Amino acid sequence: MDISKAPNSRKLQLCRTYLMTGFAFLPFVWAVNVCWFFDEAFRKPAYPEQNQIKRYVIYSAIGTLLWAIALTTWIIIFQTNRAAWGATADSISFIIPLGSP
Amino acid sequence: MTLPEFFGCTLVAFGPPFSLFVFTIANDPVRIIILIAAAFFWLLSLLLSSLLWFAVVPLRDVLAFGVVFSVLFQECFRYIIYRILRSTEQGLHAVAEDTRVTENKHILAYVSGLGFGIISGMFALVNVLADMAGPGTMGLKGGTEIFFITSAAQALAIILLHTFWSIIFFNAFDTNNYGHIAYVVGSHLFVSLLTLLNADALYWATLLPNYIVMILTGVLAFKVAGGSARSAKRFIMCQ
Amino acid sequence: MDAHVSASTSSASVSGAAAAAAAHEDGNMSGASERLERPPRRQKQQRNNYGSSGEGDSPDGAVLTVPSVVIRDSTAGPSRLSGGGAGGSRDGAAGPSQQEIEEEQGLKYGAQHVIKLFVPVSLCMLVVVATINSISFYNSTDVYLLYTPFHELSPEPSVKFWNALANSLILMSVVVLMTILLIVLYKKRCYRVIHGWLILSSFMLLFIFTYLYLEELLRAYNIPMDYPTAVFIMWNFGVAGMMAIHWQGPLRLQQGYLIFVAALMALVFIKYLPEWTAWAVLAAISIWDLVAVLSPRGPLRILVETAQERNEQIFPALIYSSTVIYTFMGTHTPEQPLPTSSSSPSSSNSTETTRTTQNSLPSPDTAPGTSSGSRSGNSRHGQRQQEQNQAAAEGMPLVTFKNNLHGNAEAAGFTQEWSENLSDRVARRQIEVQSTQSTNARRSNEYRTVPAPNQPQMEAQEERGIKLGLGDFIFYSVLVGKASSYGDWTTTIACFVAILIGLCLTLLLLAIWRKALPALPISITFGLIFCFATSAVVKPFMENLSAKQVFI
Repeated sequence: MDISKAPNSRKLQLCRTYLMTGFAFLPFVWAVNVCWFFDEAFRKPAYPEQNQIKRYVIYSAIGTLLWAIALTTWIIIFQTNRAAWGATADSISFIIPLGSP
Repeated sequence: MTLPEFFGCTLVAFGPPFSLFVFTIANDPVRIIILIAAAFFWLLSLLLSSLLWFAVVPLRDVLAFGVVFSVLFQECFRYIIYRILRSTEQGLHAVAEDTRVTENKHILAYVSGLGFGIISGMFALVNVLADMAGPGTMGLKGGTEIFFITSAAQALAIILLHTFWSIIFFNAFDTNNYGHIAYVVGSHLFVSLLTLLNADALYWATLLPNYIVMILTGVLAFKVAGGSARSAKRFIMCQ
Repeated sequence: MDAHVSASTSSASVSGAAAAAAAHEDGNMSGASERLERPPRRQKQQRNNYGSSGEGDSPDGAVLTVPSVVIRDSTAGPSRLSGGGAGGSRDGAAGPSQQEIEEEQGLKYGAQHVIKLFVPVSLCMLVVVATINSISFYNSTDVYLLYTPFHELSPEPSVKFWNALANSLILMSVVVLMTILLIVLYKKRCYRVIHGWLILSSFMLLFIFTYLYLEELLRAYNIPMDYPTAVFIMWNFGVAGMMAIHWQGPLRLQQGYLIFVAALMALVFIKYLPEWTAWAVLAAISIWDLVAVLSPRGPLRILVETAQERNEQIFPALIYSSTVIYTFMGTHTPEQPLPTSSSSPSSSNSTETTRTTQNSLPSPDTAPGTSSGSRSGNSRHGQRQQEQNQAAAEGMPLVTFKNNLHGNAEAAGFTQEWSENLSDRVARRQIEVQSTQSTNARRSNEYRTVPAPNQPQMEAQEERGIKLGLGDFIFYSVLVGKASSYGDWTTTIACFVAILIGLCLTLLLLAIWRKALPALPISITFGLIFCFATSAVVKPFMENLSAKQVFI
């Protein structure tokens, strides 16, 4: 849908719902929220709901960033230590590559 | 030499046409549609010539036969698309986003010619390119090493030639200039028949004349489209 | 789309008539005025307009005309649309030229619509072809769908043929049953059941099949991954997809998910259908499409007509909608910049209206999905006023194509919005137009060249998203993917070009007939013909040629 024509209260509600949904381990939803409402929050002329939208967008951005850091760290740790962990790593492996240790 | 060769040859053959597409065609929906329609007509001509080649069983190994008739079919379909474009010009004029498409008649010719060229270059090269990326390499056990790069260079020449030919051809029919029509058909036959020598790896004998023909045709197309030495100079000097 | 198309067919006569009228009115300066009128509108494109063999022989002459045009434009006054100096003496001269401009401005979106369908269709095919060529899992059939009990294991072509025919008959009867079930549910207004059904099927695609896809993708590239990360990615991807498709999300995200879902479904078909059956199903489904949309009691036709009657959109999970918004001022709008036209109360500020609507052109207006349907339904009668002030949406009938079902009963369809209630508004507007004509006799001669049925298409300020059923995406991709699974790229390209041309022709036919048309038959027929012809006849020829490096 297109939010530029939606009433302001609807925008606020949508942004809030996306923020709340993101708490269910859904940083991708937060990222969508940031991209979607970025223009509304920072580029549009001011309107009453904008402050709240701005806050939600910033929260979503922080959340996305934290999740991205956490995920990247975990992936790096797992990939580098996979061979060393041995059977433990194999038990949590979704794909065990062929050929390489 | 597999993946680098693949990218290199792809860019040699399709880099210039791709930039032509991006800068002159991609912005205008009407031109994209005409391009695809021209490609479709080229496919039809190829289908007809393949059918002929397929049907005449005794001459299947004589490629010259198939090449001659393929060239004739292509020129026939160039004429057909010329007729179609000219008859739908009024409708196009209304639909076109910018009126240059119809006001400057060479744009239609250029777009359809590029469509012809791109699809013919693709058909000639795409399976070779697919082999190029694969595990094998050319020239290990006999055969020539420069097979791929000469194919790519030849494909580029053909793509550009098709574009020039269409410009000359459309204008020739507009102005009843039969000499230009004969030149287009003749040079197309010449270029295609000359590539028969590639089978003997006589690349200098084919690539050099073909590129000379390409440059000559390009100059002729430039003149036909209203260019002159003075305007070329002004273009180069960015005036 | 429907609307646009009709405009384009009549456009030649209309614009010609308008130009003729302009020339006639201007009399002495007919040629000059026309040349003067045009350049301002082209001005922004002049920068690299090089050759113009039409008027000037030498390019220098053509180049030199550019500055003069610009100067002329600046002296012609503030109004971009007025007919230059010629229009100075009388206001009426602004009419024809403006209409001409507006018509073209509106009609150009027709071609844009076609491209807006080309891009997603090409993307979907690209995903499928890339997957087929990189992940060998989807290239081989070892497990079969429940609906295809005959597995084509016999080497005999005749047995294979009968197997394929039987399989496709079974599959088609499932499809027909599911379609009828859907129609019955829709007729009975069991929206909850339908939505549940759709949510279930998209849930399966977004979670289970995506999981399989991820697994095969990683396996093909031999990338290790742990379960927590995989589950996390799947959870995020799936939930965001469900939100975007069934609830509200950015348009691009929704489009992307729909394309992905269609590609995934096509891959499922390619993977699990035996080879000959896949071709038979493609042929059968396009025939079914033809019957279901065109026959008077065809289920899809009933679906579309019912949706029109109820002023609803067909379920968003089934349709790719590009939502190209555009507004254009037609020849018949009462709000033309004419001081004499007082037929509509709001025509006084007309010039500003024109500007604002044109400025707001790139901004999408209403959302696809239920919200737009309900909103426009409620505000329809107040909209007449509303659209003067802002570029309010006025839905015109859209493409009405088709819908398909597959094994999991995913239907796809085209919607046609608001067309029923449109008619009375159109009638009202035609009356207004006639009164406008009576006040302004000078322009009426052009209007007469327009046949009456075209008038609604010339209305002002339209918004249309073009919509194509997901089923079309799926089966186009199945065709191209199946063609590419033989490893020959020329066949793939031939199929691709043939399908795009078929789509073009379908849209053209839509323009001519202006009724709901199925999108599959022409494209699939072309695609099948070119696929088999290319792989049987053209491929050996081209292989011969490229082995000897002969270029034609």
